[in-house]
Amino acid sequence: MRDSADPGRRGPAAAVGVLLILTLAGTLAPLVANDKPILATVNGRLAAPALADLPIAGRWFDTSLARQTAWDLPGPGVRVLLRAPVPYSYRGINLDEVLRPPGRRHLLGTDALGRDLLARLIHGTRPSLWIGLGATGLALLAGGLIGACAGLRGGLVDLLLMRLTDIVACFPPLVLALAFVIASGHSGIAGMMAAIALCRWTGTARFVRAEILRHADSDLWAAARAAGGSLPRVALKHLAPLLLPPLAVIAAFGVAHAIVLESSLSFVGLGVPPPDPSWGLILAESRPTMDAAWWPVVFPSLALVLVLGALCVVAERAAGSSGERETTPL
Amino acid sequence: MRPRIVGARPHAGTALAAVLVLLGALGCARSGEAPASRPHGTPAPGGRFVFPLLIEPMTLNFVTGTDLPSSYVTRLVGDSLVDHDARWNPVPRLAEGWEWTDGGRVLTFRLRSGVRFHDGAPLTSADVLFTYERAIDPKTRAVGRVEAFLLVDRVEAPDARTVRVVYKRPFAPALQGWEMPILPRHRYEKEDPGGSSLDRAPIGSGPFKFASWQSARRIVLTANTDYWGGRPWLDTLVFEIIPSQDTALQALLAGEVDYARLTPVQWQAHAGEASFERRFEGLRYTPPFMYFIVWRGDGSNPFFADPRVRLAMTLALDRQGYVRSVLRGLGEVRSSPFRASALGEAGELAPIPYDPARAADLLDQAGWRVDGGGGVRERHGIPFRFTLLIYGMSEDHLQFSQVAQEGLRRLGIVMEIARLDWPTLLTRMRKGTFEAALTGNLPSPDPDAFYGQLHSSQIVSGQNYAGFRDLQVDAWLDDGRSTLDPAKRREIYHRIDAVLGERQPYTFLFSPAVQAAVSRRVGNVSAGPSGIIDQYPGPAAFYIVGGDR
Amino acid sequence: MIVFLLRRLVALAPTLLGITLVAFAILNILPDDPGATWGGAAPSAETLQRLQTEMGPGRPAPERYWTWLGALLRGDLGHSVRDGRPVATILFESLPFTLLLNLGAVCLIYGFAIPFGLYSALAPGSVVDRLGGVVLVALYALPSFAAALLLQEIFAVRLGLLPLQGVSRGSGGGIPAITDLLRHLVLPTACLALSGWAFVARYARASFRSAMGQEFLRVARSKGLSRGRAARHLIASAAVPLVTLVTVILPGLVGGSVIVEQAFSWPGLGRLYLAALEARDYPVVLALTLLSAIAVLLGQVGAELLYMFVDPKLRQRLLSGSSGA
Repeated sequence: MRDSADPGRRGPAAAVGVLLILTLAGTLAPLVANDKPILATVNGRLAAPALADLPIAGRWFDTSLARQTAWDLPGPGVRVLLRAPVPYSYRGINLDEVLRPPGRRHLLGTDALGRDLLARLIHGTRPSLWIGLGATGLALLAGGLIGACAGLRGGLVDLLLMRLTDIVACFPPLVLALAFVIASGHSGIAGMMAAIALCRWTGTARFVRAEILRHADSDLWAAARAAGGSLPRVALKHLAPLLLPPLAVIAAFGVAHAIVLESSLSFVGLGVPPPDPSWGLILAESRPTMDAAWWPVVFPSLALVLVLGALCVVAERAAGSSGERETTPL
Repeated sequence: MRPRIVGARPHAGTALAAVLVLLGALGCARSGEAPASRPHGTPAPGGRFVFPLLIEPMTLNFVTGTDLPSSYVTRLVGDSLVDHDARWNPVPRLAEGWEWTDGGRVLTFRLRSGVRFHDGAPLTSADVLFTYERAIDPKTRAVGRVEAFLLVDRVEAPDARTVRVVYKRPFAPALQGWEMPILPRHRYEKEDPGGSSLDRAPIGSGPFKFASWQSARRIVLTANTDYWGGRPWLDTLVFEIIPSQDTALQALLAGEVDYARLTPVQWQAHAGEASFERRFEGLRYTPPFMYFIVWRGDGSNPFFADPRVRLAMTLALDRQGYVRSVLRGLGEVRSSPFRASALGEAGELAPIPYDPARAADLLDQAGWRVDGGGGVRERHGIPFRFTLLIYGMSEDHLQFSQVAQEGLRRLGIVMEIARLDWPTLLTRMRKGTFEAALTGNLPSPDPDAFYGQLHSSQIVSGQNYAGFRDLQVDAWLDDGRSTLDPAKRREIYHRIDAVLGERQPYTFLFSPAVQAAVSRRVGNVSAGPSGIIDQYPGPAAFYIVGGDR
Repeated sequence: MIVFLLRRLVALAPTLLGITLVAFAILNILPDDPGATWGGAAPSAETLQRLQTEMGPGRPAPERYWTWLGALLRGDLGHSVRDGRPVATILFESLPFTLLLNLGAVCLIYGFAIPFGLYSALAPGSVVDRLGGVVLVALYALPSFAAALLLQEIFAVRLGLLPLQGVSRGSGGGIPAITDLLRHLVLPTACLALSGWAFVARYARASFRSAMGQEFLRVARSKGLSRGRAARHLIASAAVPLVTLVTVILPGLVGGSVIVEQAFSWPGLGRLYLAALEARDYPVVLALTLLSAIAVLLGQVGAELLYMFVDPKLRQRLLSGSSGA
């Protein structure tokens, strides 16, 4: 099909761009959406209050000045020089502004507690992508190791590990994640990552094992072994490059699945606790007011569409470059 | 004490409707609430009323089914000795009347004659005695019932129509315990107390007969045409199990059910719509349900053993703002566990306001000051940082905890939120491994309902999760239970309330009001403090305008 | 063939045993309080203490596991802690409805996603491919509760075409009851399918694309094989991964339809699962886990059988017994 090459080239670039912008916006969220100014003077001294909210960088700045000044009602000695593009905090509750529709003051409207929805979405990028990427990374690592172990060692190890995989794969993901969160008592971002990874590693393990078994018959493998390489080294050197492209596909879909699973967990009451505004939490919070306010449902869904679409394009691109082969993007 | 006899209505039946209309005409005490009853059309027998249940009953056993959804069904299939009307006043039901003697230690019920169970067998005092014995039998596990009978010394049935209850000492909330539907002894006698085949197909003497129960779907009741109080107007009463409140509202709009609760936002979206107003009528009531925060004040954490800190917490939480904005005014801010009616007119204390400035003062006095650069209050080098446990499924929990979190952050206090499932929350409260927890309670209207939260005997394994210990309050609580004179009781609870106002072992938050809509084709529906079903005669008096559907 | 099937079924036994063990272990870690199930409105200290001793675990976990396993082997799943009914009764009340909902959803998902995937694989970059892809991804991202509300609002409230919730109107029987049930099935199935389409369609598209790259098809096409015939070959060679997919999405469907079941008052296993977990109703949770595991494992065996029909080479390998998991 001749027309397939063209969009195939521009699509991924745009998709990667979208993902990069989202990651950047998530990381620099305190500078993009903040009720504190980016630059201000307090009694003649220059301060950068918003910078103090950055997760790591904040430690290097003089925080006392920034924290002790009331920014919502700037006092006499305060002069604001530069405001954040979205001049609202993601946790700035304002009970007099609840459920305002999108408009000039609040571009995407406000939620049931009067918080700016845009600010919440921007700040929600970090926990959501973090959960998606972290959970998928963990799942790939655990699944890859277990699958490789089973495939390379064979015998009893293979049997036991694959039975374990079967067992975990039989649990419905939502139930397993729920039980894990309840049992561990950690519903924070880290707990959520672990819970979701726990449900998702089995697909990778099966895939890696199957691929190793497939290639173990090949001449390449025999040659490398004959050259005297140790088993793990040969595997790493010759198999890893072959496995990486399809694993990229697994990863891309995995990130999307993880974000959606987190929102399901939030819906049944055990998602990321406030104040971290994960997209799942924003969605779950939007349900009771759904009849009167569409914006808290639609905008986080759109954010999810954006990430999902971009990931799909990237994943399919990766699948394409991996050559014409069967892939299991799970 | 002078024996008091509560007169019985000689005949219920059609008279019931008239009484209800009268009650409705009186309207509701609280201003701004919808009229409680809606008399229109003429009652005619026939038709079907469909009521959505959010939660499926666990059992329909009269004695063990103490959860609210179970009692919705059992109170219609069975008859209790006494009951409450839409205003929560005690009314006679199986008993024609009752009498207190021996200084309030002996309670004697006189049973109505000619009452028959649905299988035709007569109901006598032996059935009442049997039901009581079942309730207190440990094997029955009738947890919610046993409490009301803890002070009962013995129950006697001198003749077929008389039941005499002897209490160890006078017990003011005694009547509530007898709002228990009476089991037919001849059917249950041979069955194991732990579980009976009749648990899912009960037989009673009430206005409705049990017809069918399809798990997770619906429970169907049909009219008991031989009811001693006259046949109910409805032919069929269906409890449709609809676990989502949003779906229940949609089902109301689609005509699949006749009643639905609306969230404040939903109410705002629909009220005033002409098509909605034409088909449905609004009902509003404030159930005794209340949210509160438990501060673990037994010294296991460095924060909440100090009453000044607890009072500061209450002042720092914008309960008023929450009720005004999030609940759209559909609720009541609470500062006391007791209803105003329990305290008397002069008894109500001024509500605790939202006053962050005073909260900051109190915290400073208690030694929690903002000194360091972090902006977090500290005392002896310990930062004010604690975790609030909430029930993750509840929207009110989730939203109010965030309002609290933000309010406290502005005061320099870091509050983390832990979303838990219900058993975990309960386990941690019971073990005392928490600093603060948001929870709710549906107390009975009697002020004695808070005995468990306040009495120090309930700390070790009871409901006093705050670890609140005050010997004076203990003595008053015990007094309040055994005092029958209403004026004296009100004075006792007023004193307790004053202590609670200062000591704040709990921060009482708010009671959400329920806004519901009922189809205009149903007549005689009135909303009491606990809805349209939980009252007598309640659904027995409903009718479908124009008869059949 | 039958020997192969029997061997596969016997091989499932240790896995099932492992599943019960893991499920039991997880349940024993969960914080538990009998008062949560039995506490009633306002339990006193005395009652709660009594409950703790009566209802608490008491015996050590391994011993309880043995008792449970022994009963299970005798075909006794125990009684629900919550309402005292036999677990088997509770399960079989919900099972038909769950099967109906999930099979309906799988049919609807595949029935739409496969043709769509095939079309977009044959015409990549076309309007249908691109626009359809975007719409499907949007449907995937739309939260189930919002999708449910939209469907209910449009088809039940505004148009009045379909029943809004539940599984039946009355309690009659015969043909009307069946059509009534099917009418009730439409909206929840559609709601469940909305989120499944994107994934399966993307997957199908990728599978068809990779099958299209195969040498024989390219040759055949260049020699003038018609589009329709090419599509048939495509379907045959992409069938294996598509069958695998069913087995992978199955566990998710069994437990993951909770939100849809809730929104449509569908009396399925997902709701039961969640409620039992929340009430710490161990016998029910264990039985449900076992049931969903059996469903998943049988699905896998079924998939292998299907492979044998679609792929003669695989049939040889499976029957000779060299395959692993």
